[in-house]
Amino acid sequence: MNQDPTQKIEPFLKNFLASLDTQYTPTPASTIEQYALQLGSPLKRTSSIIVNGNPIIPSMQEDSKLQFQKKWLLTPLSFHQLTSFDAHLIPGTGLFVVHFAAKVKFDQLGKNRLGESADLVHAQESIVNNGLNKAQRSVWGSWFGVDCNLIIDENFNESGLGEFINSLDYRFTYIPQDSIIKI
Amino acid sequence: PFPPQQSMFFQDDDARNLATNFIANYIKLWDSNRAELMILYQNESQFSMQVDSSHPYLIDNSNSTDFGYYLTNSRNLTRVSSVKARMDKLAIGQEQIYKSFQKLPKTRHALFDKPDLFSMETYKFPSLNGIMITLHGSFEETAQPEVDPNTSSTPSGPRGGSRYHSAPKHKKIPLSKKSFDRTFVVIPGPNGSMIVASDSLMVRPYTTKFPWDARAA
Repeated sequence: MNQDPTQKIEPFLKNFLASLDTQYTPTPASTIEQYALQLGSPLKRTSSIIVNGNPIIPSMQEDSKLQFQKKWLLTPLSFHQLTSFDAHLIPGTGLFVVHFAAKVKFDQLGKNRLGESADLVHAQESIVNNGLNKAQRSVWGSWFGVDCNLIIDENFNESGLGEFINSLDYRFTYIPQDSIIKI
Repeated sequence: PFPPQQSMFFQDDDARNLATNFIANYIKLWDSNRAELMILYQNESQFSMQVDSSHPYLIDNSNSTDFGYYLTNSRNLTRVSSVKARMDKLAIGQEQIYKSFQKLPKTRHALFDKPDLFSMETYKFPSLNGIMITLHGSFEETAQPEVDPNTSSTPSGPRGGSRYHSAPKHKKIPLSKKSFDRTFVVIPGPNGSMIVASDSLMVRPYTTKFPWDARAA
């Protein structure tokens, strides 16, 4: 066999993970809504989504993709690294089952993706940033382990443009002892 | 924003009954007699195994993380680039799948004594009236594989033969614990039977700490 249907899956997965890791840079032209819609953009509106064993239940007003994006928006900035993947094309279904593992680290500054913190007064920050560049670098924590399963359409586009993911099952397999992050 | 870890997720009661029965019986036979599992696989069924040796884990010095029995057949596609190798590491149909099973070390899963060590999700597979079942946990290797995976296909000559393995001589690989994730696509077969359409095993370093452990919370 000289055709390998799994060849394009690696760039697809990397683009999907990159969409989860997108950073918010406020400009007059980009709204928070536009930013949020980029997060996990290859998901379908009706995707089955499970995060750490908890399903996202779609409502009349909000489909599962939108609910996922709203929740993901409130997590700290993430950085995923694909470490392993494998895939089976299921005959007669037009679907790939993709099983992959990743490492992920989160920004430990205590802010969400929009740069908002729950601290009303944060003395240290005002000293550090006094008169300096307001743009703060991320302080990455230790690596988490992730095991993830996707069902994607066979005719997916590797660029990650378009909606191809029918289901997402995202599970932390390891949380570092020193982490204060909860997603 | 997301709720805390929940160890078990079942989309509905049917899925719960089907998945818990399936996994309980599967793991029992996987640990005792893998040949008896072959009834679940058909001509188009697929199995492959991948090793993620760089997966994060809590370091415990009492356990080695030698993946020697797994690496030859690992279909971690981030690390296998030739088309031939990528296809060779995918087992299709009963015969090939059984051969792959024989090349994996014999195991013991503490699923019945310590179910808390495992977590699971089940949900509908969009077509074929199927169900996805993913199990996360760990196992102990209890014996070498029936067939040494590091064998080349050349028959061992008078000097190359080993009395204990069917493989050429190499250093003995220590047995140890491993953590794993395994995903099945199960579809209904004739007369209420079940067919495994897809079976994907992820093997990674053993971790003594895992997020669904209720004791740790």
